[in-house]
Amino acid sequence: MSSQNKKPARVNSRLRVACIVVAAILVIGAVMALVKPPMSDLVERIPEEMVDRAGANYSQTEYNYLIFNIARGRNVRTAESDTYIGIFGMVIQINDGFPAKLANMLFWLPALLSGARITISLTIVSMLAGVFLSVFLALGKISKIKLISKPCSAYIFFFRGTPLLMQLFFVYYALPMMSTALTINDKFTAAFVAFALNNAAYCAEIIRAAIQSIDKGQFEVSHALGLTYAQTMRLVIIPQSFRRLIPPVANEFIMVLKDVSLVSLIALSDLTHTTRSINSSSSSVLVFIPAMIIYLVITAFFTFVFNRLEKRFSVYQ
Amino acid sequence: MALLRTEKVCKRFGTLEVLKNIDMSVEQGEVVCIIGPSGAGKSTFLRSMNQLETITSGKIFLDEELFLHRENNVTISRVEQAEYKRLLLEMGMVFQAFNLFPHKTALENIMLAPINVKKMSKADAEELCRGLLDKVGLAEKADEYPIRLSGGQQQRVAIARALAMDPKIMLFDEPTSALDPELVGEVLSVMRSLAESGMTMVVVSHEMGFAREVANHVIFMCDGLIAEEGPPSMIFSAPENPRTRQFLNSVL
Repeated sequence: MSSQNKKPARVNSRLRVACIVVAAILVIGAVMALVKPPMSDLVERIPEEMVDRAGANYSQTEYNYLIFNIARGRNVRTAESDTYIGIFGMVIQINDGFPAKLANMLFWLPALLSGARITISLTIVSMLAGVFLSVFLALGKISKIKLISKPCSAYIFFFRGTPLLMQLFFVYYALPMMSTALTINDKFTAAFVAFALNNAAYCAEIIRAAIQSIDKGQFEVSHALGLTYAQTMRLVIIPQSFRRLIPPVANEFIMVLKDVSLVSLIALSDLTHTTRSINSSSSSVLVFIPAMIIYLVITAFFTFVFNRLEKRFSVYQ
Repeated sequence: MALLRTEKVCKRFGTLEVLKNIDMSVEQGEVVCIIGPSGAGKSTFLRSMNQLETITSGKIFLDEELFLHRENNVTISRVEQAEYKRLLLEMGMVFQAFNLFPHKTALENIMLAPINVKKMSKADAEELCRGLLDKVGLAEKADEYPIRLSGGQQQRVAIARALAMDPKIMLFDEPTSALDPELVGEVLSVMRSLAESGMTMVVVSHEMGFAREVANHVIFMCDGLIAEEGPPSMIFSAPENPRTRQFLNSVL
């Protein structure tokens, strides 16, 4: 009893610190949001003369972030630009040096984030579909009926034995040549199909291993109690294998998150593809820094989620 | 009337003969203890009663009904599927390693089979199972997970779980062998009270005291054969077979 009583106390104190930090950030954020100068103040500062000089080549970008505004007038042809940031009630001009580089990253952020959205959603949907499929594949592979187990083994062998990129190309480029019924025009859907199918093979092996690691006595006692095979799996074996599944599935999830960058090769604008476009259009290498930071943040977030899940399912261990 | 009877039961693992023509008969209300050195085939015999092992040849009768007949690893006859399932449930089994479901609380462990196999309502099952937990003296541990119970408590939950299916015969496969010595007593006393309430039991055990005091019939198995059998008074005080004498000398 004592060990169980101590744990929540420690968790509570840590939770309290976290709450205070979050509250402080929210308060500071709210204050910053209230005192940020309006966008019009920033745009006014851009010299008329520059706008006139650029003429048709003039482009103006305005980003309204929660706690600050940023605006830039730019001569697209000469790359001459004038950038203003409005923060803490002040308007600051940032045209050269480090602040300007930092400001560049802020202009890239919306594109990078929309790339990240594609990366995350593709990872999640293909992972969900893959895990769903893999349960059947895993149960099929350990089945005693050869007509079921052989095809499942063959599926796993094929999808683990060929490159993921090849499978992606096959779905997107080769299938449409074979039949109109198999044509997937939407890049996202094509990538989803390829990743889900590939994922299922890897997750099936994880699930199979987890099921087979459950003590044989659990099957025996289920038999003695009169449970059917399906009931044994559903009520006894699969719930127990959940916790053992979480670490390898989390690992797989993070692998997929990074494998999704392969879709840049079919020109789907995920985070990697967006980064590469910005890199070539702005001829700046700095874009890789925020891009990789975004990857790290996503990975950190999901690692945290999976760790919580693991703890949740460990109550009886 | 014999509740459980076997005729010429044989079991081979490859070329290794584990059981050789075992004949056994268990009457209603009888407590049969199977003793013998390890490797004698005691557990295999018990496990082949409820089909955890498939016998190579022989006949098994339940309620005087031919349950299974096999010769040379081929099933000659078996009761039809529905009857087979019903008869299997007449045997409750308790394992050496408890085999509780670790992801279920003590109460859920017991309720799982009545709800899912007997299709009992949740409320009825809970009432029945709380009663059984009380019977094995663990009413206050209903909501504990197995990991938080001692070995003796786990085994008592396992006994209650087997009883929940209302079996006619209880099979015990070395129920106390995995327990610390000081926990053996609590499990044996539950088994003893079960025997006193008239339950038919087949017990594979190394607990000679239990066999001597509770059993009606003791079977000494050795090398896959029944070397000697009879009432405990005879087996323990005047064994005829030299192997029995040698075994009893080494364990007592």
